[in-house]
Parts: sequence; structure tokens; C-alpha cells
Amino acid sequence: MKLLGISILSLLISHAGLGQSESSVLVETESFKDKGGWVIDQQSMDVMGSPYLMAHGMGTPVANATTTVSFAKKGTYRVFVRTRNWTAPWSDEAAGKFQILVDGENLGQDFGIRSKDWSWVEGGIVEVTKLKVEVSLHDLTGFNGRCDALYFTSKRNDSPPNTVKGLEQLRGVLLPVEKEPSENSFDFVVIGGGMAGTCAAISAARLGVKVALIQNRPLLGGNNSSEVRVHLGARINLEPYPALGNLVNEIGPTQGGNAQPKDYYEDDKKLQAVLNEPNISLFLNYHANEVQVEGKRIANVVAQNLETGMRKFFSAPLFADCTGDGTIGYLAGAEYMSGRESRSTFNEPTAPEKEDNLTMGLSVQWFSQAMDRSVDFPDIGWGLPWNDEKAFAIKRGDWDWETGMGKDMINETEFIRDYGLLVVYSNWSYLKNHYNNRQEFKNEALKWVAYIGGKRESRRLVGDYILTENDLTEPNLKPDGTAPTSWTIDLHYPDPENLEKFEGEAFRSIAKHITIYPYPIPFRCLYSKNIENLMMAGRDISVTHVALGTVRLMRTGGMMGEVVGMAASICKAQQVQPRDIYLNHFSQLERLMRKGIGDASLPHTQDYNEGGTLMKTNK
Amino acid sequence: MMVIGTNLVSDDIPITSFTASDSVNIEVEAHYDSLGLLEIYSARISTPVCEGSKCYTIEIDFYWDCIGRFHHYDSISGKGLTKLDHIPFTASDYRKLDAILHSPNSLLASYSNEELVKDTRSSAIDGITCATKNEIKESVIGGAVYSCHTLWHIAHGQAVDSIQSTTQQLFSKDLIQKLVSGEDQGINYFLVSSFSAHEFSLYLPEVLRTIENGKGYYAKNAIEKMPAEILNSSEVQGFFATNFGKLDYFAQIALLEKLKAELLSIAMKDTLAEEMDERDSYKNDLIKSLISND
Repeated sequence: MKLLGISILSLLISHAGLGQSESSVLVETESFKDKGGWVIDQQSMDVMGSPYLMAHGMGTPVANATTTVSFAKKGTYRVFVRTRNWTAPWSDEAAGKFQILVDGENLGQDFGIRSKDWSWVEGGIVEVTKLKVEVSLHDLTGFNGRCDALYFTSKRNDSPPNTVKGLEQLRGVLLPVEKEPSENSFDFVVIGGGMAGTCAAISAARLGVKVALIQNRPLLGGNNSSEVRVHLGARINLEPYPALGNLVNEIGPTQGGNAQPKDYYEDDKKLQAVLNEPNISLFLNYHANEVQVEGKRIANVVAQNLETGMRKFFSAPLFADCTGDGTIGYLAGAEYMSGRESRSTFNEPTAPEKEDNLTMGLSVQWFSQAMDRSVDFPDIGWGLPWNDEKAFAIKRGDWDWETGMGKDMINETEFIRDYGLLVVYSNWSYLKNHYNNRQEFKNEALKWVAYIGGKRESRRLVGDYILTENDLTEPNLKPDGTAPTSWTIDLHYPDPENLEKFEGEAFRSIAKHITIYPYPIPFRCLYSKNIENLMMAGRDISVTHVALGTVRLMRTGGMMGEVVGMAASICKAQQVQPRDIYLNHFSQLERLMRKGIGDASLPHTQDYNEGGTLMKTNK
Repeated sequence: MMVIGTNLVSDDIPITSFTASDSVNIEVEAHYDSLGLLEIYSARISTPVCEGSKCYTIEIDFYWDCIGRFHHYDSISGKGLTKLDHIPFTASDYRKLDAILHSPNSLLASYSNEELVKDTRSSAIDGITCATKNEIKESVIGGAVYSCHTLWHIAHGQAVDSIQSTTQQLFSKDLIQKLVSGEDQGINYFLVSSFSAHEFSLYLPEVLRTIENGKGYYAKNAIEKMPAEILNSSEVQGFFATNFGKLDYFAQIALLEKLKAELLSIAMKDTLAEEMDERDSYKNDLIKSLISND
């Protein structure tokens, strides 16, 4: 096992030094050597142009992020700060304020308070008297102030571009970019390190496939990681392939529960499982956001290191899109669907009469902890108007703290997540400072609030078959069935009462369920219809909105990963594409599915949150 | 808990009795329809429930279906259920009790009596007011935690095994026909899981009927449970030669894995030859190995 992509922290200084033009320096905050209490947020980088640092202190200012910036020349520099006021859509008051310190000196103004959108704000003038200068972000509020980059220029009329395209060009000049493919020894590149991608990588690797696993966070697990804290759901070891799911059992946490303490999610167990595979090269903190296509095939995927900005090329004969958002398929020009299909499109009883853009939302979960003393929380002025009737007098926010239903889950991710943060803080601040029965919350400390949102739905890539509600409910079993989906068709909607109370922007959701027999997902749903060497596993497979309601569960996604990994081994052995497996080599996949890829001797630990099913599911 | 035994009393009413928690003996009685065929089981439950230092007796009638699935309860006139401090159950409490007893997968299954409440006792708090554990709050009625727990374990405990073994003793052609006529998948699974090879043979037409009408993976599972010698008999091959195309793919695989090439009927061979897929599949491999073995 090679672990790549995490020992690059110190490169910024040389980048800044080497990459500077005559009299300007661009410093990306995600490259700061010491991030203090600030965290990297990459969730919106394809929209706003970059990962950024965020002060996620849940109301307590976080420690400074600090780095050393190298200048080629001493002199007078104007400073620009790329930031925004994230509460501007809801309030005149800014939540996330911070300052910039240059060699310990405050630039003299607060940031994060002006522009509603990401933009460069003039930060004043500094006199650079030595070639290495220490620059810090100093958080003032603990409420998610954010800073993307700093730009120092000594040119008179110079100012950095505000467009994403312009910024990309600026980075091209000032920061290093890898020009040639450097990682071309792979048989199979898996993009996305959630349950589906992790299982796909391990499954393929165990069958002799050289795999690159690319994940845009510092850990594996996706929605099941300690960053999002959604427990695994649905069943494994089901008819007609009871051996599928053994790998999910191997790497899945042994205890369930949403929004629980970090240890529940066993991040290390998933990471260690990958590190144990000599055939996997793991690229943590790499975000894939460029795809080079030749004919109907992906030739390269380009992924950017979240800290250094270094862009790395991955070439392989076969790729799997396990990104959830279907990012790789989308960039490659794969057909995809989003929103809700109309009832007549697939004759689905549960579909709406007319198609629309409603998707399930993104969860920002949270919990508080009882302390042995009273704990204050700021009485925020930028929150939503709140009162006893609106208040949720609870100490843990579960999956149903869900925002963005009806919004664009890809292009509005930041807004959707921020609204999730806003309502958690608004409610908590009210409970602590104004609630009639606030005594009950006196000793409670807001212990954890997710800043990585748990998404359920965005793009679904179209395969040779599109799974529908009727397939699941009849059930209409297909000979190319693979991983069985067993959760109910579980579709989320804005809670009508919450929607009314909060003027059309709900943050609580309800679920409606239709129970099904375990249904093996056709293999034809796991590869792209028009991009020949692209498979998918997880929530971006070829299903209708209604059918997504059941397949989106993470144990099911993990089993899809097991299957996709098996398919990758056949593609390699036979030198064929996924569709050829369906047509000409399917018996090999069936044999692998019957055998399974996980360790069958381990005790079965995945018996929490299994969900209801119409029948006895085990043999 | 342990089963004491099942016996047939003189008027042919089987009584199965078992000991519930706290050594309460419960006698389950079978009831029959007008044709004398098994219909339902019942038992009058009379059990003490203790919460802390307070004890009281619950009396209620329970009913189970032929395979031991909880069916319903009847409260006994003048002996309504109560919560803590003898507060009577409300209509809503009774509805919740019904839902609790109809949940075979309730979290209560994995809790012992002692684990129901948080161990937060202090000098000021006695056992009665201990808070119910958060995990099971939804699975019980507030103020009647122990009652819910006791009744759930009676409904889903030893009674189920006792009833199932009693039903097995009562198997007859008429009863099996009655049971399969309901097209109840749970009952069908129970039957094919219970049948001996002899019973498979005895009730073959009924078993084949359940396979024809089965949903989900029933056909696959029933084929897997059927003894190989019966499955390869001319009668069964005749049935599958006609119905092969109606089976789902996975039931077909189960059948193909059990058929023996040397015992294959001509009709079955012909059917299989026609059932070859155009694309590569495990099914094709199995068919080829069966019919090329002349």
C-alpha cells in the first residue's frame, strides 16, 4: 500500500516563493502550514473556484491559522482577501468575522462582513521589510468565517480577478501545476471514498486489479465518516447473493446511530482496510474535477490536491464514479438525470404528475453534551427570528435536519449547508438565551455540528437500464441482478409544518416509505450508457428518483462497490468494457458474486438500522 | 423460560403450556373452525409485573395464528390494564400496546427486564421513577415499561416455538390445503421449512402451488428446501418443464443446480434447450452441463 497525498503541507512556501511573478504573491489559505482550528472546506470548490479555510468553532473562536509567505522583493504591498459574508442572505449582521495578521500586526479591519458572494476585498497596505513574512487568519466569532486566498501586490493598478475562470488563470501563473500524467500504472481508478468507492477499490484490489482510490476528504467513509455521522443502513447477505455484503460487514462500524460521538463511525477501520491492500494507491485530499475524454472513453481524470493545489493526472482503462454527485460522469459527458421524473415517464405511481426539480436534501446533524457546569452560548443577532413555538427543545439533530430540498444540490451546496448551520445556531442560541425552559439547557454545550453536509441526491448517471419503482414493487427480477437493495423506497419531503413556519425554506424533513422485497440491482444500472469505460456505485447509479429512495442506503452502496470491483477484475482479465460483461461474460460475475469478496468468517456486526422488508431475507 | 410440554387432551384439543418469566405458567389453547381444522391459538395471560417495589397483576387474553405470529389481544372485562400507580390505560395506550405487540423486531427483544431503565438511582430516586432508556422509549408506553416488556416477551417468546411444534403435529392434507389457500408467504415459508422428506412427498401438489404463486425469493427458497430425490421425480419435473419460464431467474438457477442430468426427463430437456439465453450467463452454463451430458 502506498499512501500518497498527505505529506505535502510544506510545499506552499516554496510554491509561493517559486510561483510568484515579479511583484505579486497569491497565497491559498488551504495551503497554510498550520491551520490552527480552521478546517478545509472543498464542498463548493467547483462552483466558487477553490477549497477554502473555515473557522468552524460552533460559537467559540478557533485558533489562528498561520503560514510563512515568501516575497521576492521587499516593498509596499496592497493586500486583497477573498472571502464572503455567509449570513448575508438572511441578515444584515455577519456571523463569521476574522482578521488578518501580518507578522502579528492586524491589517486593521474585520473580514467576512461585506460581500454576499465570494469576492476579493481590499485589506489595506503592508510594508514588507523582510523576504519571509508570517501571515495568520485570526477568527473572531467561531461562527464559520471563511477565507479562500490572500493576494499581495506591489503593482499600482493590480487587482486579482473575481471570476472563477480568471482565478484559474491566475493560479496557473502563480502556482505550480503538473503538466503530464504521472499516475498511469493503474487498471482501475475509483473516484469517491465513501462506502461504495471504498468497497469498489478493495474488491477490485483483492481480485488482482491495480487501483487508485481518490477521495476529496482526509478520511474515508463519506456520509458514514465522522465528518457527516450517518450510520449505515439497509441489509447485507441477502438473496439472491448472500455472500455480497461480507466486505461491508468487514469495514462497517459495529454500532449504529446518527449524530453520535466520533468513535461510533470507526474511520480508522475503513482506512486500515484500504491500507492493508497492496494493490490500492490511496489519494486522500484529492478532488477530481477534470476529465479528458477520447472518443467514448475517459482517458484521464485530473484531481487537485486540496492543500497544495497540485493537479495530478490519472490514466487507466477503467473508471468508477463513486462521487455521489456523478461528477466524473457529468464531466465526461455521460447522460444523467436529476430532480423528479413525471409519473408518465416511467409509469411510476409515486412520481409526481409533472416533472420537477425536487430532490432529497442535505443533512447538517448536531448534538450537545451535558457538562458539570453552566455553559454560555452567544446570543446571536444574525440568526433567523425564533420563538418558543419555533424552537426545537432537543439536544441532538438527526437526519431530519435536512435542507435544500428543491434547490440545486450541486451549484447551491454552500447555501444549502449554510442554511443548515444557520438554523442549528439559531435554534441553539434561542434555547440557551431566550427559551422559556432554558434552565433545561443550562449545562448543555454544543459539542458537534457537521460542516460537511450529508447529501442524499443529485445527479443519477444513466446506464443501459434505468431501475424504476415498478421493478421494485412487482418485483420484476432481472437476470443481471447484482447487489440487493432492501431498504424501503424512502423518499424525503419538506416537513409541511416547518415549511410554513419558516416561509418556504424548510430545514426539517419527513420520510414516506414503501416496503419492498430485497431487489437485486441490475448490472446494467452500474455502468454508463454512453461512456464505455465508466462504472458507478452508490447514489449516482442509473435509477429514477423514486427508485433512488431505496438504493441510496450505504450498505447497499457498499455492496454495489463489491460488484463493481468484481466487474473491474473481469474487465482487466478479458480486456473488455463493462457492457461486454453483461453481454458476454456475465457468468463470471455471477460466480464472483456467489463467492463474495469479504471475509465470511467474521462475526456479523451489521444488524443495526436494517430497515423493514417484505419478507424473510436470510436463507 | 422453558417449555414444559405439549399434550393432547381427551377431546383432542392440544394444550401447550410453558413457563413465562417469574415462573408464570401459561396454557395455550388451540381453536378449530367448523370443519375441525386448526384456526387460531389463545391463552389467558395472568402475570405479575414488578416495577421497583410495586407489583401488580396483568390479566389479558392473547391470540396467535397457526404459525405463532401474534394475532391480537382482548382485554378482560373488569380487568383493564394499568400504568404506574394504577392509572388505567387510555384508548391511545391500548392502541400503542397493539402496535408494540405486533412488532416482532422490537428493540425490546434484546433487553432484559433489568436493562429497561437508566441506572441513575440516587438516594432521592427509587426504582419506580428511573428514566426509561432513550433507545427504547419509542418501543414502550410511558409508565408501563415493564408491562410492555413482559407482554412482548410472552407474545414473542416461548409461545412461538410451542405453537409451531403443535401445528406441525396437526399437519394433515386438509389442514395443509387450508393453510396454503391463504397465499400467506409467512405460512408457506413455515411449511417448507418444517416439512420432512415424507411430508414434501405427501403434500407435493400444495407445495408446487405455493411455488407457482410465490413472491420474492419464495420459489427459490422452496426449491432449495425440496429434497433432491423429490425434485427429480417425474411429477415435479413435469411441473417445472411446464412452468420453467414463469420462474424468476434466481429460482431457475436454484432448480438447475438441483436437477440431475441422469434423471432429466425428455420434456425437461426440451424446455431447458429452449430456455438458453442469448447472452452469457451462469444459467446457460448450468443448462449446458445438464443437457450435454447424454
